[in-house]
Amino acid sequence: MAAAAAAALRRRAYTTSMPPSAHVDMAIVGGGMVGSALAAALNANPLTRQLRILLLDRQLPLALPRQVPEWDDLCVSTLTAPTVDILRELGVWRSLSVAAAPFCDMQVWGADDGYVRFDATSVGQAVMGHVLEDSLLKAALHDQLRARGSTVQLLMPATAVAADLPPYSPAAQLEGGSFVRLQLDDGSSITTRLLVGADGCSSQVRQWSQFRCSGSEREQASLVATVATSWPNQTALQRFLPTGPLALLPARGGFSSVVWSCPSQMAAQLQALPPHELAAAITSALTSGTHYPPKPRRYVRPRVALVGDAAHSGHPFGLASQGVNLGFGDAKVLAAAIADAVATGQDIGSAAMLERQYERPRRQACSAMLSAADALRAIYMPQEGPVAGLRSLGLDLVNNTPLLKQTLLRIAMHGL
Amino acid sequence: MRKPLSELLATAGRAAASQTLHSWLISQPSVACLSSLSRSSWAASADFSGTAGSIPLDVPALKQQQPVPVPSTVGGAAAGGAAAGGAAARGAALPSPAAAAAAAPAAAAGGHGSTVNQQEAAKFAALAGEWWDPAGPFAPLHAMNPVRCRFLRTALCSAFGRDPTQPGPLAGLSLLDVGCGGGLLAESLARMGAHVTGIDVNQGGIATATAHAALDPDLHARLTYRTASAEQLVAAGECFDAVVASEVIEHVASIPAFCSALAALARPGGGVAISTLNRTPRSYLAAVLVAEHVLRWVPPGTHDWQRFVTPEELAAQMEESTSGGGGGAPLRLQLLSGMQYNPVTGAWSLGRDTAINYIAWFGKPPGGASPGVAHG
Repeated sequence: MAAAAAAALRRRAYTTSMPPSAHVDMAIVGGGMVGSALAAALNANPLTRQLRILLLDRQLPLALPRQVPEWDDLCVSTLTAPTVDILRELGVWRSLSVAAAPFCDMQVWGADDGYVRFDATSVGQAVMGHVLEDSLLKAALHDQLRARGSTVQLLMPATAVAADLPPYSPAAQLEGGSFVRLQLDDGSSITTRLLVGADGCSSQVRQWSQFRCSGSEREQASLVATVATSWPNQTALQRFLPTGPLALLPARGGFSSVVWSCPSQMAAQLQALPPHELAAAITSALTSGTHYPPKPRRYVRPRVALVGDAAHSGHPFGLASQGVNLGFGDAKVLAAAIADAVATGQDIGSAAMLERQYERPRRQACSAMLSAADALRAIYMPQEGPVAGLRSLGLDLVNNTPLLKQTLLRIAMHGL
Repeated sequence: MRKPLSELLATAGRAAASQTLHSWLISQPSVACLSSLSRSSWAASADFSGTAGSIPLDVPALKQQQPVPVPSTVGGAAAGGAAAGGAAARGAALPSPAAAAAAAPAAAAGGHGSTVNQQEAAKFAALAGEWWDPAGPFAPLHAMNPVRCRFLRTALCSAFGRDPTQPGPLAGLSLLDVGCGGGLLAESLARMGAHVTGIDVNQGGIATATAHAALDPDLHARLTYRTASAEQLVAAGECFDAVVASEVIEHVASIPAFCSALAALARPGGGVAISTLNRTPRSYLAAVLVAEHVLRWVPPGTHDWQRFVTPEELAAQMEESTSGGGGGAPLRLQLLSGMQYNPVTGAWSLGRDTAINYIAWFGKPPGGASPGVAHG
């Protein structure tokens, strides 16, 4: 039975620099940007290199093309400086920097007059951030994971269909066994000490964990398009409309990426419009009619940890596609926590360790960031009333007070 | 039953000299900790229903009923000593006093095999849950464990020439954990690659440790647990690369004998690691006044401040009890670190402040007797 399972794993595994086995130390479900970054970070640290890590994803791994392709991908992310540092430490930034489009200033305004313009040079930085297609980032990380000397095992394509999670109380664990058992779609099963959910907004691992969630479901869609601008664009523009924020982000080759977050009905209408109604070269696509589920209250339980959108439930682009930066921060902190556990002989799946060293710092950082995004929306959405009235006044004030602007900018660039 | 603070403080003063409370040292945690305030479990465990209904326990009665053999360094002279647990020799662990109380009448029931087994089996689940429950009564120990493991990793790597930045640096070493309790420290050391033998005089703790180790196939092979005392192992002539006695020495009756036993179990070239509480005004404040009487985390009388050992005394004691005689070269203090608790962050850290908790490594010189070293 075990031999058949191992044989099945061997057939399915995309790459094996280690012999496949049915028992691993860590199983990461979701080979997206954040899951791959976590695997790469663990692989880079000598303390955690020897852990048997498995990365599962429904799709085949990507590969970075030889030449920088024309900008045509619709899913983009804005990377802040801390994220770029993380990617540099992982050794993937060099190949990505040629493809990333930097921007030096950002302008934020609403439906009325007040606006704020941030300039990176005012805080002594050359660039404020980079805009990069998600697929390129993912491809670079996958290449890193398949490079020579990588000990991470990629299981792609594979889908996890069910998981047996250990109970919370230690006494119950003593009776029922304390590892996680993951069932795959081909019938094989894997036991692991730690299950990491990096499978995005509609995370299955989060559902299996049965965390209590708070907040309401929001239904918001994003219209993503690529436009050519009449003059080169090096500014990230974000306008908060009554229906949702619209962002124009610089991209390579004279293009810019439009990210428009609006109610799904409106997005559907926009999509139905003939092209010439919007602009000459907008290609419209809707992202997967995303429901943003309520946020889970916990990120960890015995032998389970959630990272990235699985933990934050995604957030409609409050600040120009910045969501992924939170996820990279999660990956970095979780990798450090696991390395620390290995150094002190702790169980990497221990709920106490995960809570103390991963969940607690990340919840602080993430709630601050998400509150800022929510606060921005709360500031910009109302069209009438005192908030609206004060808004342009406040924005003018910020725009004309260098010290205030620089402080806000430092926070925006380096995270909260 | 809660007593007013003034009465408690008065009692504490008397209790320090009182042998009854002395003798009730049934392996209480000697870790001063100021973490979260959810300590209601202590109120439950401090209720010795079944035997005495309130503190202090009727220890002489328990002593007669307790089937566990009492090793010579433990319990000993001071008024019936920690005989009832015998577990005083076991480190910072805390077997549920309720369990000890319940096991005692069971043992006194006349040795009906089925009754004793049922009782112990029933209490086993409770013990297991408490030992390895990071939010249970052993929470301070769980919080402190990573920090003492970090020190031990550094000390052992430098003593045996290993690279601490690599995973599994203690591979191939044989370690002895004296007073291992539920196996908290032993498992961590085994995860770093060592082969660990854990001993304790408390059978309940050993059973828990064995069961927990069985859960993890990787660790199972490197962990051995036995109900025994250090003296019994010395008598059997066993020897290990290094010996660890964490949160034990403040409970033994004869420190010199304990030190020489530990040193005899370590092979030349290895050493002994000891962690314990310092005897300073601050440790009295933290471990006795605050933890016992103000925050009521451990029952009053748990810690006998007079029995705490300062690092200087410990170093002197180790040198004296190991030099001369047939013991070979004296063990010298080589590494010392304080372990501090930050009540705001709830985190422990290693540092220079040894005023409350500290951990020390004594190296045993390799080879035979050292060239005439005058001790003292």
